Amino acid sequence: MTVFRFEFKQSIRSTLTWCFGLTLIVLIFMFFYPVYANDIEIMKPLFEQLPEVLLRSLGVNIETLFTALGFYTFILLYIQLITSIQAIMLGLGIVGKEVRLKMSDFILTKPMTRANILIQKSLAVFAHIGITWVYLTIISFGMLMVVKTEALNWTAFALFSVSTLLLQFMFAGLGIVIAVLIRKLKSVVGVAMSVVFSLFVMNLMQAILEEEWLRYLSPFQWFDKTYIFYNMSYEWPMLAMWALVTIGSLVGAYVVFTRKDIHAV
Amino acid sequence: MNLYLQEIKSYLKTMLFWILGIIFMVAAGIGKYEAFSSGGTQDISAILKSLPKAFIAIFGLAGIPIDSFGGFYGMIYAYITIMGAVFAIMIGSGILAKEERDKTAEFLMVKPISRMKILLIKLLAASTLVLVFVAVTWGTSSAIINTVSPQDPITQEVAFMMIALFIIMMFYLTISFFMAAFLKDAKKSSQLSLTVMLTSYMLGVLMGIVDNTDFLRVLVPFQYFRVTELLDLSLNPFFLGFTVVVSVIAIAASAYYYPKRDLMI
Repeated sequence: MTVFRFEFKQSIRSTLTWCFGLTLIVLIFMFFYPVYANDIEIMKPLFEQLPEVLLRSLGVNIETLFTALGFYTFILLYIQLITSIQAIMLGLGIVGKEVRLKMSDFILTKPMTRANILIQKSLAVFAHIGITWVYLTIISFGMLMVVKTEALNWTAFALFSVSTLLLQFMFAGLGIVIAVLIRKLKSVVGVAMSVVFSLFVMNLMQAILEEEWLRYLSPFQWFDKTYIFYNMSYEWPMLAMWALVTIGSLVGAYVVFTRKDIHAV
Repeated sequence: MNLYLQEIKSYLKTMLFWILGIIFMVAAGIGKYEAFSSGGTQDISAILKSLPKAFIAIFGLAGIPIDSFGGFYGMIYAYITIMGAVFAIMIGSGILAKEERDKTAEFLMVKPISRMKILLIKLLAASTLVLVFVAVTWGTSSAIINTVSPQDPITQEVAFMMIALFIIMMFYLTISFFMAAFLKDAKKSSQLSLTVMLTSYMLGVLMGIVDNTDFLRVLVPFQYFRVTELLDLSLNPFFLGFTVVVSVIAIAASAYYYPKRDLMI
């Protein structure tokens, strides 16, 4: 487990920084919930007059949207944006490190199989993701408990939290496979930002596009908050898509990494 | 001149990839206008106006009047600005730092050109890339707008938005360029640029959700030129001056620090 321990230690500080950033976001935004809740009292009758179909198409669920948890789902999109960037950066950074720094010969001449190296590195990635997720869930839960005005919907909260973790895994897998596939991976931040922000903007554009098929290609749509609120479950086809991409990336990375020709310099 | 061509060439592939992305975004977005407007934009716009600010903000639509074609395009402009910022930061933090990162700094520095000249040529190349980004967006937008709505081509509105896009991109470019010139560690400078981008984006979201947060505007380049103002054919003079001054300072500071600092070889 030397590789795991080493890689784990290397990224501790960066994980702490990410956690700090997430704390700021959750605290600052949730702090404004009471203000929002006040506005809502005035808005509620307005919404109740609108036809059900329209509300559905706008993604408004009157019972849930105006709760603290409903407000939390607003921020959740941005939290997921940030945790996704962290996840893909971890994947790209930890697995692609040797190639990037031109020191593949150092680690590959150690008496370990390549499979072992890749697995330990992936585990280090997932360990950091896990820590970030647990921390995020705790502060989110704490903050919800502080600001909430009615009972918390446990199932919905669990589903939202887990969806963040699933997205983190997906992006980590994507990062790992990109790191293995690209021969000259140069800038971790550059690749991470372009991939995640492209998918993120694709998700925002869905407000105009409204193409059903495009949802399968944009991960931020896979765990649709409105759907979760209405049905208290994930959409199965989207979950299948998630499994396909995540498992596909990891298996692909394994297959390629164990046989590819790696240049020493 | 050799260096300039070399820089452009090294970003050619990236640029092509981005151009395809822009064309897709603009084409898919504007192409949806008919479906969007026939669905009774007036109604939707009226409803959106009555919705809580936070709710509109999650679509990234805060303060955008989508009841006119110009406003509709403003939405696409807002999405493109996010991608533009990512692009500008990627280029700005990469173009100088990549020599040290890829261990080609010695190769470049022993050439008979001064560091100052290297810096300026690289800045010029980066600005060219930003210009290409804006030109492609402008060109595609005009072409598609002409086919979708020939009687109302919103030429001037688009022109103002494209100028705003260019200014915002140059702002992010020069700032990340400065950080790459100033900081020794390429990894740190690109991470710092990412932090700047994420922080400003999140503050923009916060401004969308919470009232009376205009004092934050100076920290959020995405809010410097608001779509409503651009549709009135005006560029906010204060922020226009501000961006120009900050960009010039960033360039001057880069030119001051880069020729003297130690290179990490």
